[in-house]
Amino acid sequence: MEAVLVIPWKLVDAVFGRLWLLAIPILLVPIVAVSLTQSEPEYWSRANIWVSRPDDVDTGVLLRTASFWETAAQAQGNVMQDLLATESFRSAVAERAGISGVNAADIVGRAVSVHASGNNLVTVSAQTATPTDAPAIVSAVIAEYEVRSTEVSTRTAALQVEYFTTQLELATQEYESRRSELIAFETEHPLTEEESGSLAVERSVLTSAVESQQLIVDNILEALQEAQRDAASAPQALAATFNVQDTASPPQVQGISATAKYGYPAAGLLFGAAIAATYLYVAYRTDHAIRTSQDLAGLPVPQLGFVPQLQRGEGQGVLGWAPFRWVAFRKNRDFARNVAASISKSRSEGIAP
Amino acid sequence: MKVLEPDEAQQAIHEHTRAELQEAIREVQLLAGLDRNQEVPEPTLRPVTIGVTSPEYRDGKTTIAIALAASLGHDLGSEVTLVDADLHTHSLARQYRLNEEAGFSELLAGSVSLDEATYRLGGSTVRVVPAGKPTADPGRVARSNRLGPVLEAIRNQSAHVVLDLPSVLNSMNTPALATRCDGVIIVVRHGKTTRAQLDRTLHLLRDANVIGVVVNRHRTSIPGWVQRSLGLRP
Repeated sequence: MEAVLVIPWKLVDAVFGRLWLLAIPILLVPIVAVSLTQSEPEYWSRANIWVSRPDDVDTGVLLRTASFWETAAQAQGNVMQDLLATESFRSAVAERAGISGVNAADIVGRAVSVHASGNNLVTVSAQTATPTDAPAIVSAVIAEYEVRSTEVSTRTAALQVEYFTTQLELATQEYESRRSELIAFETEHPLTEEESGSLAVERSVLTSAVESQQLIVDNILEALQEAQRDAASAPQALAATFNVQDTASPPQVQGISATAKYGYPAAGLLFGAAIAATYLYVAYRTDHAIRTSQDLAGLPVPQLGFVPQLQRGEGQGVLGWAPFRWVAFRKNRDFARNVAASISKSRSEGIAP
Repeated sequence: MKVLEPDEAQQAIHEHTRAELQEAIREVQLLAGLDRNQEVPEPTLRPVTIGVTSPEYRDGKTTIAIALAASLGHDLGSEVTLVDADLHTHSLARQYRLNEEAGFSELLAGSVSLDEATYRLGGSTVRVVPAGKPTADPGRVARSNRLGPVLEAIRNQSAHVVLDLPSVLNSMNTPALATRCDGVIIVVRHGKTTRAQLDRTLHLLRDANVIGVVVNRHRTSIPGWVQRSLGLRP
């Protein structure tokens, strides 16, 4: 026996009667999903720097406080991140990269990322909205770091030179004074074999004072020479510990993933369709009103017919919309009865019933 | 017998609208077995008293009753009497502006004659018996001993009698009045009347001869091309 497909008329009527309400979630949810998930394309660039910490080379002031247990890359990376945390460094980077505006420093702060990608490899990367900014910022960070590092080392060494020079002058004066006292004593009391004990003690004290001051002067002199060497060799020290291997790469587009491009809209469409289907199902299942002959199935009496809803003129226009339907109701009140009553007067002349 | 002339509202009805209703009522006539001239002398075609009722107010029973009476008179040319038996709402009397006139309740009370309570619609074979003046106890009037003789008198002067009965779920007079009719048509309103209401109505009218159900104010949102392609019929 062939199965007969029964189309639920009331369900079809519910679909077309609520077409706009059903369309709203189907259209709106994908739009919301797209607006929440889609983003502008971003450009990124990065540079790799080989860093080291040689034992016999001064690594500069910035790295002197680094922990022994950190790798060279971690130490350099931490220093660069510390510098990026300062407004002045970010502003200098922005200026060097050609980024202007009130928020230039913040733009740099958000765009730049520094991390140790190996024991001796530091990677500086930047992600920006424009293709030119990303490599410019990466290059500017490296250049500004080199300048800052050299400047700090040179300035610190200069201060040390000045300090030790002053100390050396004072120590030398003291040394000359003590030496003069010793010479005067030896002139007055030349050394003899029968020198009394008191003279011998005094000679020994004066000699020791001169020798100890000599040692101080020598130490200050050594420190001064070391500071002068640091000041002179700061650029070379940086070159020995910080070596750019890969310069800032050309800008590359951060592609939008297929999930973001197609997946979220599709998911939104399905979700919207699910909302619409749920609404339709609830509306259909809770509608117990008689609408079709299928609703009258099983009655012990026959269906005599369907009398159409009578409308004044062709449709109701805006009065058919729900907010204005009461106006149409008032307007069409008793209209159907007048139509019914008018049948009796529409006798066709000349035709006998 | 007084004659009622159609008012301006009825005259202004568009022919297309009237034809739309008339065709739908003709289908009801046909399926209810009323589409035959009662003047043909057949014993099985006794003058027919048709009651029109509905489960609730505003379902459209008065409209269907008026249309049915008018259509019978128009198509068959027979004498049709339309009786407003709804002593609660007086819908028919309001339609023909006979609110203050003597009618069915006075007939049952015996205070007026049938001729005094009957109004002929001008230019047609339809007569109208309004509900009469409002009465304090419609239930007692509906169960009057004179109900049978009055209905018989009305039948004797008409080929068809159409009774506009009260709505079933709002008046327990309806089952009593319905049993006096040869057949009862139940009018349900599309999109409003529930199946439970209809089942309850049929249960209350179990002693009456219910001819069938008419769905009034039918409309659909389904476009014509969809109906045609899916082969859907109401």
